[in-house]
Amino acid sequence: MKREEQDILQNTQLKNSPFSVPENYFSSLNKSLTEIPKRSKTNNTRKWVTYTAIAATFALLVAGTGILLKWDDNNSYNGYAVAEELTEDDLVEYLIYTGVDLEDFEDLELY
Amino acid sequence: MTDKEIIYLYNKGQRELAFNLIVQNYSERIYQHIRRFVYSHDDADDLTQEVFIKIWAALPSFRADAQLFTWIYRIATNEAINFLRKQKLRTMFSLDSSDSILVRKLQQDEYFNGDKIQAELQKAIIKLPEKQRVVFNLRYFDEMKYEDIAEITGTSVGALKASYHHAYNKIKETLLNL
Repeated sequence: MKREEQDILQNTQLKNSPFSVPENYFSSLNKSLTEIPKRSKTNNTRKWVTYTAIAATFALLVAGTGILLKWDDNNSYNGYAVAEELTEDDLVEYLIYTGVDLEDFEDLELY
Repeated sequence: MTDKEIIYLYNKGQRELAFNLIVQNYSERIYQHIRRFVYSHDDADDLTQEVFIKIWAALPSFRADAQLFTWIYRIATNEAINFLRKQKLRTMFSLDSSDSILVRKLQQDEYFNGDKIQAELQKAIIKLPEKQRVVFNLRYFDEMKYEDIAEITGTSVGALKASYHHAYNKIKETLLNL
């Protein structure tokens, strides 16, 4: 019985919350909390815009690289095409013009 | 409005209205629940916001057979415990223990209106292990049923009864020795 009397936790006053809050705190808290769905929508829109921008940038990069490579292909030196258009006489004339002796070629080992 | 009616509204597409009703019914209780763990008003305010952001995000996955009330308390309890764990990790590199930080927050809190015994009760709760602290707060202050606490914590009723018994006796002894 004495032990029961000493059980201070049985004092119901102790169960009352000792924590207070600033004035009107809960009404402003509720106001802020009820805006969560709207904020969430805005955040989702922002995320969507960001992801779309990233995707668009990536697509532009890929497309740009493709266009550049294509342009490079069209404008690059194509040795085979040039060689097909040249005749043997053209080559001889070019060698005479540059001063290379035909014997120099005969000494070359071609792999 | 009951929790079941709120969930019915949500499932009918009235999502924002249902969420606003959850805010109305639970914001104060959840704030007080979190405050009992973290003590500082500012921390409790931040965590309450986080809890309701998570509730809104997780509502689509809420199972109809679950209790809304225990589901919300589970989110809030996890949030508070994670906050304390992070705080504990940070104190590994400082001279202060996480308990002493909480005691200091309690002493410095301008919104603590308790008397000397209430302050000592809170200090005794701070010293409890995490699980005992959770069950003590939910059982002693919120007078929750063990079955509900079991749903919130994912622990068996038997284990919870034992934890509460240990916690209760420790605190009783501490307050007796004042």
